[in-house]
Amino acid sequence: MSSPISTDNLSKAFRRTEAVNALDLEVPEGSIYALIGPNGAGKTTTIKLLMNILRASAGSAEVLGVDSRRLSPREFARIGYVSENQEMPEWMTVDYFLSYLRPFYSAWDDALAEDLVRQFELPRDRKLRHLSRGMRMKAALASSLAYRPELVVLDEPFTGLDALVRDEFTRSLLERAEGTTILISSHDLAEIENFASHVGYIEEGRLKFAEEMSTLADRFRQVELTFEAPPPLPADWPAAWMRPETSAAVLRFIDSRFDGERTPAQIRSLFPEARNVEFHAMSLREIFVALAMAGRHAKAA
Amino acid sequence: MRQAIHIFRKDARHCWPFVAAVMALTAVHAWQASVDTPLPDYYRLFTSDSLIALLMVLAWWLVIGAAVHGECLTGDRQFWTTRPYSWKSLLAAKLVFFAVFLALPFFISDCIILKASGFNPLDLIPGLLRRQCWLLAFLVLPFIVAALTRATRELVLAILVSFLAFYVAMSVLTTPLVNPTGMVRPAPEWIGVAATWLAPVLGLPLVVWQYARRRTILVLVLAIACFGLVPVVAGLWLRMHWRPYPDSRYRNVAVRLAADPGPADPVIAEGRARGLIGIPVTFNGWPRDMMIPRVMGAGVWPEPKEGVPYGSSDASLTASSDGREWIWVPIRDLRYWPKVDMAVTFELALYDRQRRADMFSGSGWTRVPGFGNVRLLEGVGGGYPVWRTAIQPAELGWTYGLRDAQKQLASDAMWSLVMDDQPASPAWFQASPVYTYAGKFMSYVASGAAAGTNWGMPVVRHPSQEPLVFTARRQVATFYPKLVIPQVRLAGYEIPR
Repeated sequence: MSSPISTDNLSKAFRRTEAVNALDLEVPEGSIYALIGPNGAGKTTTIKLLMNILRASAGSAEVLGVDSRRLSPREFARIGYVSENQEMPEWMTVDYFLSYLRPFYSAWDDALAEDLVRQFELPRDRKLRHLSRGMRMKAALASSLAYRPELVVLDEPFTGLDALVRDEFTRSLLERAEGTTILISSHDLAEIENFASHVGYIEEGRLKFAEEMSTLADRFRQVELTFEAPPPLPADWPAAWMRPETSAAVLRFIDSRFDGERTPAQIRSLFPEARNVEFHAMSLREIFVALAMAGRHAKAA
Repeated sequence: MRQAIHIFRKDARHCWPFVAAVMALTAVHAWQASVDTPLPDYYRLFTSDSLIALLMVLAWWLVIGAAVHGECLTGDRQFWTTRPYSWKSLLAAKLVFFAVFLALPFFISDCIILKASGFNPLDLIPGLLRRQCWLLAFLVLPFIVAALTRATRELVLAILVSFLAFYVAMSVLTTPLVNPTGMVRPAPEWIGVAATWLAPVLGLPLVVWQYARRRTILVLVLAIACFGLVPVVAGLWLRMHWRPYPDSRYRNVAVRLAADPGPADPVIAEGRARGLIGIPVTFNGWPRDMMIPRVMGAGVWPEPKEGVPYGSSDASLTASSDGREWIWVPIRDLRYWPKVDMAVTFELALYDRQRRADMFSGSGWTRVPGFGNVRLLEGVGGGYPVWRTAIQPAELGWTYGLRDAQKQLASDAMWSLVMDDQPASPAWFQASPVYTYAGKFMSYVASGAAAGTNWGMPVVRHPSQEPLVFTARRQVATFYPKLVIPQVRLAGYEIPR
């Protein structure tokens, strides 16, 4: 079966601004795919293109095997979409909202909906406009999981939520959407790191890299070299070594292509005088910051 | 269809305050239009009737806005766009909503008003359906505006702008057209009818397209083009090409005018700076009772030709007790102008006699075939005739006469309901299916006393057992002849004012 989501040269321009630029994305079936990137990188625009909320300027996308421009009610009945800035029918109560949506989905599971409402502790008789931001997101998620969608698309779902709500949200998502393909864009990298299986880094509308979370974690290392005296940076500084910093007799950098055998050998060849070499694993947040800073510096240069 | 009904039920639940307002206003409107009142229309027109009509229109627009904005078509944050909505079901739900909560109450209100005015709604089904089409045409504009906006505030603002643009466009279409002679001519009725159909014909496909594709900017541009530019261009074209009363059979009818020689007891007011001169005239070439002449203006030139020509728009035409007809021209500085050349411009409306019907002045509405329904409302000193037509206003270019066999009306003049001085009234301007003409009778010269031209409402002093006689006349031609009277001796015509 083809990927639930795939894009080919997908582009979207707003006047002269290229929000998404020749994006080739492949979300494997059953994966939890985290789309990360700095503000304005094009994450939300990409998702809106996938959901046929916006029209692409060029290229194409397929969602559940259908051209995203031709997504019909049949496909949307298999997709759960939750966005941080979605406009909800705020006059509806939680109960009415769920009962209103129920007939739209043949696979709607009343028991599951009931379970979600209970688990999220949603106040049934309260109107959506009177719910807190976190509660509203939970209501949206409950309404998007109750029919067991094949694909869940979450656009910045954690923005503005406190740690407890984020935790509940994530836990429910993972419990209820087992086996479901999930595409999630978020700034909350620490949260995503715990459950994402794949990660795609997008910057200035371009997908810089996309890979499995485990290989990404393996690939990035913070390297710390200790010298007798501050060393000069060699002219043939490897492109994969990012953000070199020196302080006193210590040189730090981030290796974006770490290899247990090749990287130490390369260091020994470039810095034979190094007294000590340490490799530190990096969190997704640290990787993200390093990539974003490197991108910013490259742009400035 | 199941999804459409589901969305409809949601809309009904969400919009119930607006729906309740529409229902209440429609009920008040139906009650008000059904109640007979001795007051002529112009008393009611600017008070509660128009207020209720205005509120009804506002409520219609708000309820449309509320229903459409429930699934807003613009923007990229609406929850429903990523739910399994079928756009056909969504559009169908909105149409069902409008049919149930706007069209059906309007239809029922029409039937109630017609029934109360003595008309049988079952006889007028085609007209009632036309009114439903009219309602559809009227509601297309707010529908499309709602489909292009996101909230009530935007809707109200956009509707105000649209209404202004639409008003300007329709003014171009329906304002009385001005001909080269400076005479005001009414616009033809078909323009209003065409405009009524223009809105749904152009607007509904745009609404459907917006629901199917949600191409807001493109639809907005097309809507502006359709509702703004097309009527303006069409209106300008009509101003250039339209001719009133194009009945070719009467184009070459000659009506001769002549100054009747000889003064009628001239009185010279010595030393007066201002005065009024009367010149007797005769009309030949068309039956006098089938002709309504009006003086549009008069001008005098001093003899010899020097000094400033003097013109007056206050000139008038009346009959004297001896049956002669007089042009009355106010003029100043009479003593300095012993002789003048005078030119008087007339508007001559010529009529064909079409129908006649007799009516007994009993109680209740009496159907007058071809005319509508008439009844006498009791008032001080007699009965006031109230005339009503159903679905369509009285036809442009017709006059309707009312008198009894003994001429026991308020005056000896013949009272006519004159329809030739109104612009076409496209049906979409009227909330009620019944048109009332209580206050628009005009008496004009008949034989006998000099009644003059007098607008008002006749009082039938003694509703007798004799039938009241209605006559209908159709205007077939309008002329603007000019009567030139050279060498008028003002001293011979002057009378004190």
